[in-house]
Amino acid sequence: MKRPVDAALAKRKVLDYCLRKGALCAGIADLDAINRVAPAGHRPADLMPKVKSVVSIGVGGNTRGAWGVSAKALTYFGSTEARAYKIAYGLAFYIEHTFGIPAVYCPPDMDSEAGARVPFQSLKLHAELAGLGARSLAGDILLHPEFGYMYYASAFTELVLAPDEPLKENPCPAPSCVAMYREVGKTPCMKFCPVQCLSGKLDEHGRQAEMYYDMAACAEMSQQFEAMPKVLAKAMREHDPQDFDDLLALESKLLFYKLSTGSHAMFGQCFECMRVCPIATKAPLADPILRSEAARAKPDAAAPHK
Amino acid sequence: MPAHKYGVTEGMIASYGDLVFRLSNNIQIRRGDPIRLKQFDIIERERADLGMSDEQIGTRLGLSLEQARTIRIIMEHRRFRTDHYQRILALGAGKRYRDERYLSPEQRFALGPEAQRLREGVGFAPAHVQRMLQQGCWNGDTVPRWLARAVRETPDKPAIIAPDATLSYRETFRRSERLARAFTALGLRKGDVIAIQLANVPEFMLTYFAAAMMGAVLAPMHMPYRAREMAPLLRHAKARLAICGPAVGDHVPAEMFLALRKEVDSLSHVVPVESSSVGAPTLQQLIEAGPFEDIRNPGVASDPAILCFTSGTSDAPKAVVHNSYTMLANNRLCAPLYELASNDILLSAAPFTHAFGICIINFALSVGATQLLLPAFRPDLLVQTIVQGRPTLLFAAPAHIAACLHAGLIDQADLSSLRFATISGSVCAPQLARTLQERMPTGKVMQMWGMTELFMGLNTRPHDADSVRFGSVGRPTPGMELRVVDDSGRPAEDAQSGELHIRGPSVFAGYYDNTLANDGAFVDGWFRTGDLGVRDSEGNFRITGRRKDLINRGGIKINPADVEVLIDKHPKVLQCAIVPMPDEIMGEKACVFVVPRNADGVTLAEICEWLQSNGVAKMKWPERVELIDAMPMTPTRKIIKGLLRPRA
Repeated sequence: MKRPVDAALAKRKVLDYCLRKGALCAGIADLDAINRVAPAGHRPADLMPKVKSVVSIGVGGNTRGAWGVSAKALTYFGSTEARAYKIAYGLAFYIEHTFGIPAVYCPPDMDSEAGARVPFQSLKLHAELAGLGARSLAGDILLHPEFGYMYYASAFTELVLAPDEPLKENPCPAPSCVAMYREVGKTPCMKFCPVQCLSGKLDEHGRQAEMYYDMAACAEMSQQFEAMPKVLAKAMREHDPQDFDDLLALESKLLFYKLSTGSHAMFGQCFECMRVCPIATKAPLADPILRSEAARAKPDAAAPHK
Repeated sequence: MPAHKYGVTEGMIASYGDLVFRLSNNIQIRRGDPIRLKQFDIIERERADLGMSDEQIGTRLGLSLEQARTIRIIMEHRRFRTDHYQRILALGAGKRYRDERYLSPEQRFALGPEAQRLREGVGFAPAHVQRMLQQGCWNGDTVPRWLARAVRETPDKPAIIAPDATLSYRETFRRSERLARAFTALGLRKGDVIAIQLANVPEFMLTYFAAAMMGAVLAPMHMPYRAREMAPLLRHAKARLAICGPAVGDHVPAEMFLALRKEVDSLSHVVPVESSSVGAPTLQQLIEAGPFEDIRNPGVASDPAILCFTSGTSDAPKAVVHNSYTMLANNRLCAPLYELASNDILLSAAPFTHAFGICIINFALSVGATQLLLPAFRPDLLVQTIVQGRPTLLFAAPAHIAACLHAGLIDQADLSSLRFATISGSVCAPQLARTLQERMPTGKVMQMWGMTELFMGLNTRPHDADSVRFGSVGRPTPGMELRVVDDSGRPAEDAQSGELHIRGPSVFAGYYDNTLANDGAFVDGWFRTGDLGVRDSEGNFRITGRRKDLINRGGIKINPADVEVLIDKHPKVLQCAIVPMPDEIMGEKACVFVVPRNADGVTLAEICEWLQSNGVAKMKWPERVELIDAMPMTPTRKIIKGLLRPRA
């Protein structure tokens, strides 16, 4: 049985829940806008037919120290997305318990019909429209001027919540990146990408004019879900026992590990574009502790949603 | 679902594949910021660049959703490379990816086929490797590591003192490192062979250090060699780069090496020390101006480090490959025996193109001592270098000392700086050693026996009695084992002559790419040295000759070494060598080649009478004499009997 709901209060409660549970920020994405951007089959209603609202949650990424570690170690620093999912999962229950209105946690996984590179829903699109970040030159990774680089999760609900607006300004590129672009024709993320999957142009005001992203090349580096079947198939065709062993990485005894993570080579993400991004690494409130301190210092901002 | 179920054929993949891939999210181009600004008309207009769904692609191209999706996934699969993660392995902690510098692990670490073969040239039995490492005879020491240690500890100390230059360890390292990076920029990689034909000059040492830094293999070529001798050696070593000295008279080494490129396919670069008519960049130019490239795959101790050709006293030269394990073990283990310290100054009369000379470089490096250079041996220059440079240790062959004594240069020379004079290279007459020591106010004469194949096998110790240090080559160096084996292959008794067999940390693994030479070179892990010797009851060894020099006279094997010593003392003889000559009845007889002291020469009768008066059995007397102007000698002053035998 649905209970009458004060929409403003409900929104406040929903967003407060997210922040209490560790989100750096949260917001409501404009459902109509999502539907106009996302292709058929990947709109919220395709997951939850009576969806009325999309709640987007942003969770912090790395500590400043993390940006200094070796690249292969940094690949393992990305597990914070699990916290975002956990908050979204809890939020769905919270909405149902609090308001008696259905909600679902939006699975961040791939659409099994569409292969390894197409998700059910674009969490990035939800977050952008909810104002949690703006598309960067680093392959459209969202960046927030205060919270930097985040992981996102979404929850859908039949509860009506007023949508937020996207960020008014795009923090990317940062002034130092503009200066570098003017000098060498590349921003740091473009220059230091290990697979050179990024390029782009800035306009005369130092704003993004064009972003080029070779997602296929990036996927080869950072999202190697497809590696294992390819390696197995190749190994099965291999006649040389040594080559067979090499392909399956038998000498490093990582086969099971890699199988379990669905990746032949790298369990994790390549963060090199973010490592050199001043917004990602120097965002003033990217640290949850700092965010809390800022909140305490400003009573009016005690519950900043973003 | 298999592709064919949707009617997707290879022809369709060929027709649509690239287009489907391009329209999908795999390639994304965004102009402006249309999503954040909710510019839906622009989003629609630019959908193809922003990335389309499979359904949108199918609609646009006239394919079903399933066909578009199948084609996209097949294209993704086919284009997917599984090894890109390697690009991030060296990144982080301050290192950023640089596309222009990136080399894949295959490019960076792979060895070429020739380098791989060289590695196999240092392929020891696994049990031997384990034993040597467990016993501490081998470790991770390399020449660059020793050099770096000296730079850390005593950067301003002279590493090299040459007649016209002194280089500190810091400067030596700097130049060597730049040279290594220049070699890398020339395209050389780990395992590539750098041939070098230089005298004992700083550039030799810099090249040696540079090669070691980048994992290249140095192949020293003896100075007297010319194109005829050099070509087969360069071909055998597959040398990629040759370093050579300045012109000497009409001989322009750079021209010779450049001409040799027609005969030696592998030889791609010639680097002279000084500018020459050929116009190639000089070594100094490479050091100062490059071009430079980072060393991606530096040498380690198990890598081949040096390729030496044996001095060829008995046969055609054979290639010996040492890695840092075998090359440096002697130095590290023997340095305490010589009480070596960083304030020592070492002088080698032996050329660096020989393993003996390399050994002396490594000795100095092992403790951060100073190398005093004598570019080329001449009796007066050696004595002058000792007097002026005041070395604390001298390493020389008997012939070097004999020449100086013979010229009367040592009698008045100040040898007070010498702690030790170590004689090696060939058999040393006890009197020669005694005479030298008598000229050294406080120093001692030591003896050492070694070979290219094993560096130092035996040496005397400082506290040995004079009789031991003058009359023997001492005992096995630390970690080495020697045995004397009789004709039947059984261990010989003390005082019984036989062939020396050796095994231990500095013994090589086998001749490089030479099955014939390796045939029978080892017996049960022991290297058959070919040298004959005896061991006395105290364990000291004396070298009595070469197995191949034995003369089989009617089944009786005669060692000519003792006879040669006596004939050398004949007033009419300057130098002699006895080799076998074929005989229809006896099989072999002795033929003596003599360099007479004067034009009168010497007759066979005079020699035999001399031997008789010295109590030598008649069966040992030579039965023919050949007078020659000069003996064929190796660069280390050993007679090349192999060149005499065909003339006997």
